[in-house]
Amino acid sequence: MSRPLVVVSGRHRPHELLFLAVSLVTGVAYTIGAPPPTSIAALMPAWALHVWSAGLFLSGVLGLIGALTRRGWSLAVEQASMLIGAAALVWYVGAVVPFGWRGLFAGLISLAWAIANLVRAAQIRNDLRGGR
Amino acid sequence: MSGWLQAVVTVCSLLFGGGGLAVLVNAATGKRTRKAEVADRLSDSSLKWVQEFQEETQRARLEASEARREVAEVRRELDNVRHEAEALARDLRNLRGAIVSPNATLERLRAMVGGETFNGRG
Repeated sequence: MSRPLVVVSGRHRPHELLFLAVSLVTGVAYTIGAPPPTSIAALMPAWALHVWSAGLFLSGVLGLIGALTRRGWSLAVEQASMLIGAAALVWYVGAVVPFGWRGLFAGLISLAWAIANLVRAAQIRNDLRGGR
Repeated sequence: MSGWLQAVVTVCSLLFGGGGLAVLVNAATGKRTRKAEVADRLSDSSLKWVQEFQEETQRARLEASEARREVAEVRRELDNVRHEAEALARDLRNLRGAIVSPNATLERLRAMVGGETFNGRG
């Protein structure tokens, strides 16, 4: 009986891991005092800015832990990270919308990133429930 | 940023962030019993492959047992054939002995191969 060749290519998703790393680095930077994007800074008060950067940082840390470990709680942690990341990202998307076409690339990347986070969170939710 | 956009962003971020924190809390307290087995952590496509492989293994196992049964049957038949051949060779030797015997007579040979016996065997 013939069957198609199955190629399993890599266990980790490089895009996800690198975006999580970006999230972690930028989160740390904005938390310890790097000047945040002016679009975001114009949008929210200082305390909300801290919450935002802490969200980025938390999403990066949790996401990397969840994606790189293989424990019972790994998937739940990754899922939480995805949702928190999406929550932080929608703020950036909202912040660049007033820029119109000039904010197209940054806005779309952030939007895609946020949507990908949500889809991944839904995937994990589905997998953890064993529903298919 | 316009008011409605800010409202949408706020609602979305509260929703997502709250969901994320809820997931974290649930994971920490273990409130939701995890139904996920190891197999459930495989992606859907891998799971499908596992199932297909299992079915194929099952089929192969069935075929193997059938082949084993056939081999046993063939071996039994071969044994029968060998016994038969040995018996025939024995008969042939007996006949030859009877023919070349110095006191062989036609009647005795006829009696040996004919009559109630078949090929000299009773």
